[in-house]
Amino acid sequence: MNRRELLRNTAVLSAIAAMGLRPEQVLAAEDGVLKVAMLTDIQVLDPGYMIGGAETSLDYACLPRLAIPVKDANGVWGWKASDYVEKINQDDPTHISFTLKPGFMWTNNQGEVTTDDVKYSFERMLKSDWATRWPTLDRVDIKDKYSGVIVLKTPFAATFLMGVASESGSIVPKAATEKLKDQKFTTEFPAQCGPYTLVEWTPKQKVVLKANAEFKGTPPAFPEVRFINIEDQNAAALAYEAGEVAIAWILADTAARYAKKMPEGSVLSNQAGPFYTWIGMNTQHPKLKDIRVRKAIQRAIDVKSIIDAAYGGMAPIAHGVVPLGVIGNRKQSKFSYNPDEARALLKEAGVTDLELDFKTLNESYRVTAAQVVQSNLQDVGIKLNIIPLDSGPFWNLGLESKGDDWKNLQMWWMRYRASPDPSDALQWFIKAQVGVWNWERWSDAEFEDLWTKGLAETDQAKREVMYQRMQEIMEDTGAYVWITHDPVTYVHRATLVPDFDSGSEMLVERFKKA
Amino acid sequence: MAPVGPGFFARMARRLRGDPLGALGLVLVLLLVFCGLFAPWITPFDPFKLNVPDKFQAPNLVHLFGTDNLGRDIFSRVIAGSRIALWVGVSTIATALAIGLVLGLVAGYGPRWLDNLLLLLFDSIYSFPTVILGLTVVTLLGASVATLMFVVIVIQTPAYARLTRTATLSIKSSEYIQAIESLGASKLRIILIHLLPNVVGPLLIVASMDIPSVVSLEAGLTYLGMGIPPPAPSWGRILQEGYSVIQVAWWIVVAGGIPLILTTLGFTFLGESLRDNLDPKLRRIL
Repeated sequence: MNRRELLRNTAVLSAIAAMGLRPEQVLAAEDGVLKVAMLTDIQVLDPGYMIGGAETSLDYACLPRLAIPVKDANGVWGWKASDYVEKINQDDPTHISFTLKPGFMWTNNQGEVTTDDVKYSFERMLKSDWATRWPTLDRVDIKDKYSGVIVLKTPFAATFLMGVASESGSIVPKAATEKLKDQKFTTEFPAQCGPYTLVEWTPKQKVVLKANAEFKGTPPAFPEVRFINIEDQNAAALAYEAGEVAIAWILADTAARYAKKMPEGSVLSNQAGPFYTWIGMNTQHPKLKDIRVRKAIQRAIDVKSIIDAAYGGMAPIAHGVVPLGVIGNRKQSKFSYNPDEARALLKEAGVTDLELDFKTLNESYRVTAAQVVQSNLQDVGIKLNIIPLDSGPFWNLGLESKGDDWKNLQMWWMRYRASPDPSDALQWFIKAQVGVWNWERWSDAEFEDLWTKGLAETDQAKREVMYQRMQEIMEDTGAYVWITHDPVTYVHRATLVPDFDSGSEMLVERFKKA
Repeated sequence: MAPVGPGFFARMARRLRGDPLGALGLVLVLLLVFCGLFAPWITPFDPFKLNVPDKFQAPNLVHLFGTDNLGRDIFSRVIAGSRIALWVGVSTIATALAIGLVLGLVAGYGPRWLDNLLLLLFDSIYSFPTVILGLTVVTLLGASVATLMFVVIVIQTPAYARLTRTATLSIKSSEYIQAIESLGASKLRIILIHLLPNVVGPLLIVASMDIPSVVSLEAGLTYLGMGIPPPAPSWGRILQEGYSVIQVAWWIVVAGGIPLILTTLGFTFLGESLRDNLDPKLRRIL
């Protein structure tokens, strides 16, 4: 800041103070610009190769799509037709027909959004990093300029939630994308057609969106949105308190603090979130081979204390891997905290002086949780050594392709992220994933059978039963202690009505003014 | 340098009376040693015992420094932490000192080629930035007390070795050493009987002043999550846990910071006092 800026800012702040206004009220209302905190800077906006975070929000805001995700009154995720289509309909389990509205124009003189773009966008996903979002897509048939049919090889119940109505269903401009090297883009859209257009990106600082005047759908509530890059969530909370941003994703500890004393004019918005957290045990490790030892550990750990200590009491207790608001979410598990039962099981197994290694990512709340686990296990006579690790070594622990660490892996703290279909959360525990992401290293014939049938089943009630049974099978291995579905909590101005996708990313084009 | 013998402590006590900072240093160091030695018996609560419902209690008469995010008594953890600080500080410095002394004597009194070789080794290690070297080694070997001690020994040894080498070089050309050599004394005898006692004094003073740096390094690496694993109540861990909840419980970082400050002040004051009283010549280089 130079001398002139210092003088100017001082004068402005003095004027604000003289008028009796709080500085954050002024900053939040600056020219109707909405400022939101962005945890990670953008790297790849291409829906086929994106990483996530704010990239998801920008794809929703700046690219067309056939359907959008919506939550029903029970908090379960579904979908509805987007502004870009006259109709979209699942004709039978393997055919989805759609008709685009005419007149949606790409920027950069790339013409109108047509079925050609849809076909190109969806079919290119099959060769992309996100191909798993479209597991049974065969092709898109073009009827005419605006109509077409999505054809699946086999039925897949989550085609909308994981594909069409997700960020992986973003439509890109065919002609402009084909001209790019490798037909991919990174931080610059080849052309845009959304409620907003991305007009400026300053690396590590901000992304600026401006309302798209050409957009034929519902206009967004804010003429400009700025994503401010703040990588630390504690810093994001401070930025919010200082009035720098109007909404920020905060840590559970901060949420607990705000719940007691809310910053003035603020609201907490709790999203169920896409996460599932558990404590895993390697069923093939000599120390944990006996299922009675694993079941003893399941019963020795007081999950409620973990939630209180590590999450400030602001997280729900989980009973499986399928997140809240997703079909198949379990409401109850078959075991609970019972140290006496744990001691009895250990005695029955003839185990004494058991010493185990517990590995976790070196994050403050995880290390706190690990200490609760350590104390719980000490109560039943198990010594636990906590080994905090950086993300590099941690994520290689169970991968056979990355060395022999998996042989020594005993217990660990794990968190995965899922899209809003149960198949996504459960896919990592099939037999083929042993040595990849099934670090617990077990397999079960019934589980495999249900997995295959669940993908093809379209009756949601039947799927619910199937996926709940699969989680019961997981639990019966004794290899899992369910912890939580980490809630995603945003703090925002009471004057703002935010909206989110199933991954709890902000959908700024759907934000409203209260 | 004044010899350590009968009347030494009485003489030191007399001198410390006229040097209040030195006396304060001695008191602080003795306090740390006392806490370190008797920690298991003097902590009012079990420093490891979790009591989650009582978490984040502000300092009060029961919990003098309050409680942390797991409801543990911070005062007890600070006292228990002094044992870690003392153990890591004293044992690593003593080991580094012993190794440095031997290598320094060998380099100073041995053949020229060996001196050059050892010097290259010392300077190579010495040129690594301490914290970066620490972080690298801990990442490779995994966080534990043993790894931390290994890092400190590797970092400190070259400094003592270099100091010993310089002192040895200046003494070895003195007349009395030449006289002993001409009488046919073995090299080992010359090193052990005649060189060692003359170089060890200044080294001890330097080492005493290094202890707080080592304690701070341990706390620093633990703060970065690369030191002693939980639930050990290292002061660095208390600081780290306090930092993440500073807006809810400010007293945790204060409680973790105070013993570090007192330890640093204690050893520094005491070291300076020892230097001034025992070897004033060192004032020029320390």
